Amino acid sequence: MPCELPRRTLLAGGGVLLAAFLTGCSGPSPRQAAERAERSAGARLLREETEADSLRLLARYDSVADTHPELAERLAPLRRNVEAQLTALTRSSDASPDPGGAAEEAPAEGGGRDSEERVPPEVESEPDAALAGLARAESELAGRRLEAVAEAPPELARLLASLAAAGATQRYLLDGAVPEDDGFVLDGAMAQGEEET
Amino acid sequence: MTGLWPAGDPGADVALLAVQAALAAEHATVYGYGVVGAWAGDDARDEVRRLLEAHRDQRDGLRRSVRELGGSPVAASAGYALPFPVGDAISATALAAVLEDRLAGAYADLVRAGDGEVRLTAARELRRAALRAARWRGSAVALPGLAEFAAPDGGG
Repeated sequence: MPCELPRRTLLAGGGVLLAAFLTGCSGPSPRQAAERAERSAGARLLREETEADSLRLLARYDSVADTHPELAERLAPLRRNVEAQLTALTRSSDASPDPGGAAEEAPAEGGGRDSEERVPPEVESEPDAALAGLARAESELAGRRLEAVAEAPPELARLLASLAAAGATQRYLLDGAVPEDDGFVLDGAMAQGEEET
Repeated sequence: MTGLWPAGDPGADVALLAVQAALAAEHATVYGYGVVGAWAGDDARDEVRRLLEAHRDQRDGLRRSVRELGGSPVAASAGYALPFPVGDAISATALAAVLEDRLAGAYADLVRAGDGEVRLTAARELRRAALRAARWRGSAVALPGLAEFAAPDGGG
């Protein structure tokens, strides 16, 4: 299918056609094409953004637990999930390395790449407000990840969809609310459209 | 009538297989919720009935989608092996959570196999299954639908 260009495109410019021919139709199987899509610059960027978002979220869980130690026990399983998500994202990046330069990767533990993320986020002084802030952060991130599903290559899309589902679930466990169009899913859950904004 | 799952490219065998797998998972879920309803107790009865209805609707929508993709919908099995014996409210609730987990897996695979509307609808259904699983379990898993990342101690 990638080889079938509309006739107008054929007439528009031989150079474009040739380029498309060389990159898209010069022989790779659909599987090879899919694997290449997972490693594309766009996919790589999306993975990095997703990882950075998860790092920020993890930092927020830590800040809330530091500021409100009475919440630490309740937050521990949710925090563990965010940590597991980060591990999965790292594994997924390793499975789809940049075809050109694997050498530039491999930052040391605690290296410079994420130092910017290490600034502790500000936490509300009231415990309830801090929980609400966490719930908002989960929900907002889940909404963005769901939107990113549309444009991502297949494997990454599956991972993003799972992360989006996880975020909505963590939010539900934090404040009892579910996304607006899932209001019917659970008895007694409050439907809130936070993520649509 | 338009299916819940908009028709895609009829040549998309991978997508068709994934829709069939989701349909098979909904069949199993409908069966399983029947068992859940028998044991879940009075408190949960209404909710189980509501969810059973929702899963039936979902199953019917997937049947239509399979037909739109040019396939013939897989039928339900005559019976299903339960992952563990169910005989009280606690095991019934645990079964409901496992049913939703497995459903989440089928929808996650459909996200990978589909594109456009099919993919987004599958992503939303994955989210719903994860929310229902959390409702039954009282806790969340890190990556719903991704069995390869599931914790080794399933905690049944």
